[in-house]
Amino acid sequence: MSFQLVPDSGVPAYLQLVQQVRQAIRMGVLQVGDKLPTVKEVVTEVAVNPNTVLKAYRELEHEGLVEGRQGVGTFVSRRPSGPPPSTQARLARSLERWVETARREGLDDESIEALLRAILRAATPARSA
Amino acid sequence: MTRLGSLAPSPPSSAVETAGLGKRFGKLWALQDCSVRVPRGRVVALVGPNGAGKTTLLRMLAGLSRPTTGEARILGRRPEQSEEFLSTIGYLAQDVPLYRRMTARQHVEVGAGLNRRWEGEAAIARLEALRVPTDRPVSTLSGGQRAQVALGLALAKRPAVLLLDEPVAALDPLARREFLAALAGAVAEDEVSVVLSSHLVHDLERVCDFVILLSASRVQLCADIEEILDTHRFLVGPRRPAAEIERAMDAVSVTQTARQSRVLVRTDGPIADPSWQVSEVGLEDVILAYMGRDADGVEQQTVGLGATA
Amino acid sequence: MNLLVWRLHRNQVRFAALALAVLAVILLVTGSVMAHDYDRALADCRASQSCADLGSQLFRGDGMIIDLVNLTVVVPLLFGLFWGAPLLAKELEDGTHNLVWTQSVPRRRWFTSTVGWALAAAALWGGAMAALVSWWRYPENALDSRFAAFDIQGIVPVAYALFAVALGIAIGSVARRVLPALAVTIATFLAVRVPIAVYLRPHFLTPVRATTSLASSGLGPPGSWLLSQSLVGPGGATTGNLFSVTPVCTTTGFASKGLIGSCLAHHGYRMTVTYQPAVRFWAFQGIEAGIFVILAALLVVFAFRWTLHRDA
Repeated sequence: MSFQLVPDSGVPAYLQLVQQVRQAIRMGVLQVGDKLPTVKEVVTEVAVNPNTVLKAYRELEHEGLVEGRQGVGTFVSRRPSGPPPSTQARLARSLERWVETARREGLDDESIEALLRAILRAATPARSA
Repeated sequence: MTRLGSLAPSPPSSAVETAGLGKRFGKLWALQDCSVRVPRGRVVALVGPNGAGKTTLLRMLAGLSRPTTGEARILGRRPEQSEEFLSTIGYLAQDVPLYRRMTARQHVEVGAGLNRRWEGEAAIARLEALRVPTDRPVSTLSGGQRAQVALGLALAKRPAVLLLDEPVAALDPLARREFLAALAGAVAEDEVSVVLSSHLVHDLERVCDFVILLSASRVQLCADIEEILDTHRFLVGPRRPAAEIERAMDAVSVTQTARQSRVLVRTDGPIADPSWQVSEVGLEDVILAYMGRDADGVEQQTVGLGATA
Repeated sequence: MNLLVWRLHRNQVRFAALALAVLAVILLVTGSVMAHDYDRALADCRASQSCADLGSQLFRGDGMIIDLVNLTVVVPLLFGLFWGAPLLAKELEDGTHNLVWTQSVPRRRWFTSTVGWALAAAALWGGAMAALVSWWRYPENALDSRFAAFDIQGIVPVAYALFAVALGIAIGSVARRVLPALAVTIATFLAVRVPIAVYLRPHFLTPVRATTSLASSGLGPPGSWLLSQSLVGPGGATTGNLFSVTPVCTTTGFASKGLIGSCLAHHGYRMTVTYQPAVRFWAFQGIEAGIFVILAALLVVFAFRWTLHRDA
């Protein structure tokens, strides 16, 4: 997998890494048993402090999604709770169709994002915390 | 040596430690009363406006310049002209000095004769991986490539502490990112402690985990970045006199608009007063607030009626 | 360390070696011819018992070659300019001292290596050049005073070269820029070298004073360095220049210059000369070389202290 950090998103860098790993596992990009990139690989890819990566991996370990094996690396040990990748893929396809429709109706990306955010906020204010 | 400037034998747990360090050029103090301590293994952003004393501090740490007052230690050792000290540091001066007519490979070959510990082949391999030409005179390379060569040379010494003076200032965004990535890779691999200076904190925020802020020749801030973010908050509330705010809390900066006061405050616990709306801060906000402070006061700013805070 | 010195200065070394090789070829060829001519002329004249006019009979080399040989007097200064002055100034100007002084080699060792090699190269080159010129001038030296070419033979060129390089280094370490260092090096070199040659050298040892007859040819013993001459009248008083006394002889019909001497001698005039004898040549070489070597040493010590103790 590869990482990407958005500088001014307001989300701390380590959290961005955590979210991206979680997402990769959820989408099936990473399977249980797969090895996560080493700290060095990550930092040379995204130019981030090694401690940030370590912190992200610790956080993932804490969540039980990955486990570190001394001297070998960090491996995916479990999928995050939520539907299996097939469901994810199905939902993604339906969302794609919806986006197509929205664009046909003349909505630009900004409006789509705003709409999505508004609906998310209105539907479930209680996020998993 | 002044009493202020003497250090007890320091445990080598600190990569860099200074006490009352000062440097005067003629009548001007380039750096005054600088006392900082940086634990090992940290990547330190040495930030501050131009002329704040960053270069002076780094040069004294590298043993290129002598302190007027106080003292500095790197891994418990005073900067001096000895092989023991020099082999613990890697230094990259501003403007990335290299011998113009020599190639990267020749620099590496020459470096082997200048250092007892020298990983020349690894340095060449790293440069080749970055597609930096190693057989062309460095004067024909781009700024980013030259910076990579210089970093490679500094790392080939396998230093315990790496001192970099404005290494990315002259680089374009891509080269800057590649440089910082190479640096972060070295940190991950070798557990080297790094101090790198920049007048822009933005460049360094992600790579660094520690900040030393110099302004007006003095240390304004020296702390772990996480700690800084944990202990600073923005408060926005109905306008009240600055003096009252300063009495009530440890304000770093106060911005007044017609109706509101906006305060960057240093705090260890939650804000009790419910009339303040509390929000988290970014590193750059904090740095700018401390930079704006005069010698030891609170930054005060009054913004016109129409302006948003 | 030595590899670095070689990498940085190999072009100068190559150029200097090439120049030396060219000079050597020219001098060896013309010198052999001259020496051969001289030896044969000497043998001839000895056979005919009249060697007095030997000098004027001989081809003394092409004018251009003589000029070339005399030009070697500026070579030490060139060393100061091309090796001495840029040695530290270029590092300081380009900022590469920041690179090299933060390697694991302490600054004093860097200085010793860098400066040591520069001085050694200058001494070697100066020595080779002086040896060539001394050899080339063998007939000239036999016919003329060796003092006439004091500055380009013997051991002084080595001392000049050391001094020039040390001077350039010291000035470069202070100036920290190549161009100003070059200018100041030229000026200082000349300001030291010329006064010593002109005012000091004649008095290294007390000159010999002698009174010679005006009838004899030549002033002072052969090969000596004539410093002054004055006409002494019959009463023993110094008489000023020749022209003030010539009426005595011109009126009595002595026309040509050679006969004026005989006339004056006839009237009791004599010539007092002061000179440095030919045998003092090596003593003078030693003294002058000593002065410049000591100056060079002082300059090197200064540059060393300046480089080590001043902020980089």
